[in-house]
Amino acid sequence: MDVGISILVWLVLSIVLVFMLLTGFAYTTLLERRVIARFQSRVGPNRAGPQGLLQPLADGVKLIFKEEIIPASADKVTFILAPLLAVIPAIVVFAVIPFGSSIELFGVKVPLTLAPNMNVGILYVLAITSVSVYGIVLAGWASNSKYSMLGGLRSSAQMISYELAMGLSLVALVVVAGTLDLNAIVEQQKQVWYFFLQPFGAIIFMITALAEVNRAPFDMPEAEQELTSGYNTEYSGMKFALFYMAEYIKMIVISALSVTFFFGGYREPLPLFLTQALPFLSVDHTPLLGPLYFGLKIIALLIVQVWVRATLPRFRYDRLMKFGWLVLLPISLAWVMITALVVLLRG
Amino acid sequence: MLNLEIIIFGALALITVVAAVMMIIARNAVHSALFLVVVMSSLAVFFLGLWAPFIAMVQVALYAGAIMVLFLFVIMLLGAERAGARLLLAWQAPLAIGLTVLVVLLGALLLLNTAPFEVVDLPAAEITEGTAEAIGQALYSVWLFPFEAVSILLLVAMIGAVVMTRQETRQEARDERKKKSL
Amino acid sequence: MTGEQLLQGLWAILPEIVLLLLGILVITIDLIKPGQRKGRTFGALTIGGALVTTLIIIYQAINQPPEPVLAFAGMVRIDLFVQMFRLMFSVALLLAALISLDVKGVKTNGEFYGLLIFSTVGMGFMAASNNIVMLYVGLETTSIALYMLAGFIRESTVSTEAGMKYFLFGAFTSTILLYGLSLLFGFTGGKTGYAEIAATLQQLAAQQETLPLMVALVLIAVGFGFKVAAVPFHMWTPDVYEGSPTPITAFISVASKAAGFAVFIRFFLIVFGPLQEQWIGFVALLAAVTMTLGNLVAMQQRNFKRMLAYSSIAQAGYLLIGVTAVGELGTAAVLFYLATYVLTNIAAFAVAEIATNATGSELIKDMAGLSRRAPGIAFALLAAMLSLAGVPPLAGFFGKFYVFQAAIGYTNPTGQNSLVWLAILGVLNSIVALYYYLMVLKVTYVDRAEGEDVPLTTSGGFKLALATTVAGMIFFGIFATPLYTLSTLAAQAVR
Repeated sequence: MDVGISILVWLVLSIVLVFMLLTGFAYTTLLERRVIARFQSRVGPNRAGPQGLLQPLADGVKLIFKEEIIPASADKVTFILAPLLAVIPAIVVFAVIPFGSSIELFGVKVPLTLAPNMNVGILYVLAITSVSVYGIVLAGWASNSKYSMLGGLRSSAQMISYELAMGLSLVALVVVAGTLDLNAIVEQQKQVWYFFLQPFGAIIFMITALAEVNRAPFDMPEAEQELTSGYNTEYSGMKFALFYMAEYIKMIVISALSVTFFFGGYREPLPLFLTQALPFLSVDHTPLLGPLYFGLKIIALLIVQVWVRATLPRFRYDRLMKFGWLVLLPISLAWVMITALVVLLRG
Repeated sequence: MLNLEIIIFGALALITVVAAVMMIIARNAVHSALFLVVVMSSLAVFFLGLWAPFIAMVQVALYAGAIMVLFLFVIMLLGAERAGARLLLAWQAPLAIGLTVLVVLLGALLLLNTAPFEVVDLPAAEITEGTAEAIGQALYSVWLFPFEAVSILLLVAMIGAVVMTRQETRQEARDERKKKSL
Repeated sequence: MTGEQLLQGLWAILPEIVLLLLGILVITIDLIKPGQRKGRTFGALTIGGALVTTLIIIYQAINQPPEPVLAFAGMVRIDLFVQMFRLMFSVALLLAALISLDVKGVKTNGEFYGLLIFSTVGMGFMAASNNIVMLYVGLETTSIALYMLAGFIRESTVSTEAGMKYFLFGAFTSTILLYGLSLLFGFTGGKTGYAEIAATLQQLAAQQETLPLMVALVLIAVGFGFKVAAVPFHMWTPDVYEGSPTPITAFISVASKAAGFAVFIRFFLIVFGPLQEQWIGFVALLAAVTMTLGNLVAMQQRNFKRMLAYSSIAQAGYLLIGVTAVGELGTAAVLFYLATYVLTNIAAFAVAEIATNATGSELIKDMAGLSRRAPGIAFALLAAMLSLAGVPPLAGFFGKFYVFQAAIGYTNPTGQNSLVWLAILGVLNSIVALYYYLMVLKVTYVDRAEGEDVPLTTSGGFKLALATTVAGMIFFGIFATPLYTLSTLAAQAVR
């Protein structure tokens, strides 16, 4: 392929992706509010537009016109930098996540991944995850406020602790898959999802991923009751909106990662006999269906996350740390060993 | 192509060196740590430029990520970020600058006075050396022994860290008992 | 790697494996055994394990094939030279564990013995390394364990200070060493094995491109200089020796120094062999400055442990003479010197610990009357001091004798001898050193003190250690030949 065309394709693809993510973020907030309202026998936001569909837009307009406050004793540069550092890692993870195989467009073969077949894909994901803690930590520190500081410290400790178990659960996956390339991992799940081969790995990954993005029941850093929102106490206006955005994009990211690693990625979530009977439903036949299946799976997992939030109360902080170090870490270590042993014995 | 490479390299090198210098002269420990993160990250990009994606990713995940977060964590926990606000050894700064200039000049002199080293282009086949598979192969064949020996090193460091921190709590327990008995 | 090769490799590093298992055993028992009933389990275990290791090493050394064993893809090289160093390490471990048995704050502590054992493993790797990566891993394993051990007594500020200083100096010099190694790696086009680097350096030296290589050499010398406590990289020595728990001081002063010399000799003789003419002057200067400064400052010390620290710096200077006198004679002299030094210095520090326990002071003047309170211990001190000073018929005499002889017998490639001045300086230094060693003996034997008729009781561990070391000093002082023959054989194996 010509270098110019490939750069153009790449550019268009990333713009579309970022646009999708931003829209996705906006509507994830609505989804969460509506679903949680159902759980709590309420209606939820339904005034702005039909079924409240314009609510995110209204929220955005409101936040843009809010006053931006920077506390006098805050570390200004870091204070402004922190929200950006929170959002950017959340978005760039998507570079390696395949949301479809490749499609033919105006005679050009377009892979539906920004960085396809990168043989360090999983490592890239881990690297970005480990960097994403900076936003919260620095926000907590730069605000120069006790609540924010505690929130920041809690989150860094929590994320470091859960990163280990998360990494190990992915190690087990890599042992089975034999590759670090996300496209290859998805293609390997054509017949069987890795969720069935790696049940412990999948469950540990999803638990730790929740902790990584500080979602309920691991939302310690922003515990309203004890920390009055923790690290973002001092933030307002668009900067607050950026943190909000980071959180919801991260929700999408972990759903996308879980889908890619364990639920067959963009492959059709249909039993084999169905795709044999109706071949046009298969991604191999109609590549355009890939992003659709992928999106549906992500939405399903997003609903699960909201469900978890609506159901489970928040952990106590010491219990959280104990759970990470004394339960998840040993289990995931043992799981890696078992997986390695099985793979070794099967040749 | 070569020019583009040199431009990218130059820009990155500039960022790295400036960040490294800023790390040293920043008066706030948190800022120092952040500049170190920049240094680590740009090193990762250097590795990418050398066709070593595995090392690049590990560099970001471990150094820029895990280790530096721990640094920040400790700095914040101890409230040590402003400990260096007052210059205790002010005379050291000019001395250090002078010595640095001297070393750089000496190095330049040395390079000018020696026959230039032969510049060899790496053969294209070596691009595969940086992949995860290649590194795994190397670690478990030629480098097996040092690799295993490093685990002993890490074990020692871990035991040491536990010893260093646990004794303090013992001491605290003793103090506590003393207080109660008084 | 075939199964046979693997077995051969494992056999080659058997002493380290045994020690490693011992260390893990000690740590594990410490973890599961309840606090009150630990007693001397760990000390006994360590002593037993060190004894077994010593026997294994002796057995291996006897059956050592004439060709060096290269194991694990050439990472490790086992020859008689390495075996002799391993022997020193395991004997030092044995003696250090013996004199730890009754030292407050460490005697029943499993981690203490565990770290001691792990650092011995690291030293074994250092001596056996045949690759710069392996060298660095071994060096760090040794050092990190020793940093912890130096600062082991957290309640004591001097011990904490010792640990901190040792750590900061060690981390800094280890970075410099790493920088030197990486330069070498770059200059040789990515070589890491000693032999390969030496071959490349040979070519570069033939092309007269040695100036950049000298930068790498100096940086590496800084790292090694720190390990052996050579001036000007000795700043940590007095404080660390004074503050660390005494058994650790003894261990650092003998085993860590020996490990430093093992890599120093191997690296400078093999890897930097082609650059010999360039570095001999540099190392000779290092030797001269080290022994002179060590001796001059040692004279002014009032604290016994500090005095021994400066004495140990001076001894490093004598040993460097042997390194400078490149060749079998010089290397054999260093090996002999180090072997006797292990015995001598551990005895000296054991007496220091006993005296400190008895009087509560580390000052030399408070050792007055020791000869009447405990004649046996005073005799051990006498032997140690005289051996350190190099007085016949003690082992230290032959150590110095062989070193100076090697310097006088050295001829450079052009057939001239350029090291006679160093030997003369060494002899002059020995005379200066005699002063402060004899001062200690004067205080213990001649000076009177209150309560000097109260007999001093010592525990079995100290007695056994002192008896062994004194016997060794006298034995090797009278029958030096077997040890010297072994040293010569080991020196021949370096190449």
